Amino acid sequence: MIEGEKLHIKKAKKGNKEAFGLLYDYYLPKIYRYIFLKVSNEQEAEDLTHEVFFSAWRNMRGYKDEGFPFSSWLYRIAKNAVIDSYRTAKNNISLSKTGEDDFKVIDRSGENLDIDFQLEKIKKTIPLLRQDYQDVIIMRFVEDLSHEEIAGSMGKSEGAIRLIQHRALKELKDLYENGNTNGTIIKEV
Amino acid sequence: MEQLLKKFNTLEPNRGFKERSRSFILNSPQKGDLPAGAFRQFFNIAQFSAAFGLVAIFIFLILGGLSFINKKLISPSLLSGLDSQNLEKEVKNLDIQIQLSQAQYYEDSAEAVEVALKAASGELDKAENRNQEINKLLDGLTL
Repeated sequence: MIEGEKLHIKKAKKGNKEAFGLLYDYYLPKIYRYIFLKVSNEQEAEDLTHEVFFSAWRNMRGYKDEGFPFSSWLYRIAKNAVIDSYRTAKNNISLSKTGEDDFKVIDRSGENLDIDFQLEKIKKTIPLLRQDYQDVIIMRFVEDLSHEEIAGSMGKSEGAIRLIQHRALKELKDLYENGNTNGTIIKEV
Repeated sequence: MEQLLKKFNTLEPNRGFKERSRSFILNSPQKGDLPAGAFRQFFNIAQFSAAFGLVAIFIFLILGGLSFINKKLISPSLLSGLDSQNLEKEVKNLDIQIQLSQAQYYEDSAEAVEVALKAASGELDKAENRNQEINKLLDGLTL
């Protein structure tokens, strides 16, 4: 959460571009990562990320603070955008479309080539998980969100999130170790 | 596994994409925003409507005033005369009044004639008596 977030939200609701710009700058990488790890395609991740923030800006007047962080609202929009993309022609994206440049921002110096390989493998494994497992894995371990924040964005209780986290991590490890990343994607929307 | 997942946290979107997307979004109107110039358009419409309304009220007041002046001051009968039913009634009443006055006149004049005739017949009787007396006197003279 950025400093003075509530004030920025209040201003953005009144159409203040600078205030929304600050929120955009802070949350863009998070939402982008969330989407990218779910769709495994840079171009599509950018398109969907743009859609999420465009929708957020358009509907900012209707945003209501329901006790959850602003990020929960953005993650909900992002989740719906990804689901919609699955439902349209973009369904069943082949993992082979994932470019090698996807990790260009990640440091590749020295002995990191092995880590790169592992990350690539995980990246290919995450979309094989159920949607709610993907969400919890990304929000909890990549974005380091609290159980409360994840619960808010997923509309579930904290207890349910802990349970999903445990099962998701176990399934991710199983898939990762069994090497079941042959390009077949199982998506439960 | 958790440590590996955390490494994805360094993943960033392309800077060019970020700038394009940011600029596009912030230059878009929010839902519920009035389109540019909408206030001006609304103001123009309101101004025209107000002007039109005032002119209509003005015309109504002028016509009403003229009607009032015409009815009360200039030609009180004119407006009532515009009502054909009232006019017909008035005409009928007028006709009856004329007939009644004529009947009265005829009645009055008949009495006068009768009186005059009676008076005239009395004069004739007197003249007849005088004539008879004159004849008697003449007869006396001649005999």
